[in-house]
Amino acid sequence: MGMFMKEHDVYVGSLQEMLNLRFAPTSGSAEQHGGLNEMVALQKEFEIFRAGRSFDTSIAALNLSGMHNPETKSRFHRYLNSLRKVKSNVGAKSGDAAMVDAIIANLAAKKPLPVYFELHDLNASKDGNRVLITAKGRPLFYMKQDYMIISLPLALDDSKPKAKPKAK
Amino acid sequence: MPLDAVFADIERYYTTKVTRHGPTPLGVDWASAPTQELRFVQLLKVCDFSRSVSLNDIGCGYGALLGFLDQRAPGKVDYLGVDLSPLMIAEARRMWTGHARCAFAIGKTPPRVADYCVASGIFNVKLSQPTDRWASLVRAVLHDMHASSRLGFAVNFLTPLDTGVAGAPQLYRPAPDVWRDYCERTFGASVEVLASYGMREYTLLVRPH
Repeated sequence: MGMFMKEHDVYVGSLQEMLNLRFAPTSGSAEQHGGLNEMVALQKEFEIFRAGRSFDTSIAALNLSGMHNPETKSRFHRYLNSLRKVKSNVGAKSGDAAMVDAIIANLAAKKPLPVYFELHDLNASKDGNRVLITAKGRPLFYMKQDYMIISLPLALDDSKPKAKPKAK
Repeated sequence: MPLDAVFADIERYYTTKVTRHGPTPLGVDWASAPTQELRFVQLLKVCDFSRSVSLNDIGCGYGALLGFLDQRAPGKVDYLGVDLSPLMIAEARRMWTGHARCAFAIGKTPPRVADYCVASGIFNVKLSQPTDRWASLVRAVLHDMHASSRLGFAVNFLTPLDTGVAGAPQLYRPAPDVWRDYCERTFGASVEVLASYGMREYTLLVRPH
């Protein structure tokens, strides 16, 4: 997110955590629900993720873009919006469309998986500037839990700071 | 502490919320509009919308349910929202000015008998009240809802946590059979428990026999 979030980069981790908690495995006994079960029910009832609707719009409806800092929220939305112009590892789909389609299919599946959002350095490889979807994986070594993994491209904001006005 | 003082605490709590977040889901302590509306879907299962109905919404907040009813049962509901917080009611009146067949009242009990009463989330946050005092409040509110509904009422509660899991002490999580049995026994009602809608809570639909 770097160049989008700039001095709000410190919030990237908490935004990522909000996404991961929203799509987390349901914890506790089956009667507890919550987590992924809740997302499945919300999707079934309201079709929150829909083909043609951006990921950004659905995330806004779920209040997952930060609650207290409007500037952080606005920068995060600009970043998510930019994923419409980014490629993906799913055919010719844009990063945004690939994410939305994958989430729709997953939430409608007989055994939907929790979704884990991770970040990768878009400059680390020549085709790094893509959204990467992994249908099934174990992103957390400390959990025996399969996830669908969505990896978002991110780069260091290495733009030069604005020059200070010269003293007269 | 008398129940009136407990209601005053609740009023202060929600007034603080709406002051901080405005007339939004966060302003009434819900995470987002979709989760708020998924609760409405369950509560409204008590209603028969094949004809026009009157509905009292207890703890209505800024009247989010009215907006939802406009989508789900447009033109079919004569709506009255009731809330303890004068600020919340002021926001609701401002928001729904000019909306047909709707009214808002400050208080804990509806000033009219309607076909149905619903209450979403009003029993969840017990603040610092001991459980037995909170249960007295729940009893009082259920009696009010029963007395002010002709065809049924619906309420929701948080699901109890698994044994050994410590939850937030300010939340009230009774087992489903506690208030199901109470309503069946006290009101001679038929009670349906809805628990499989993905959320950590359940809804009681209470209908007279």
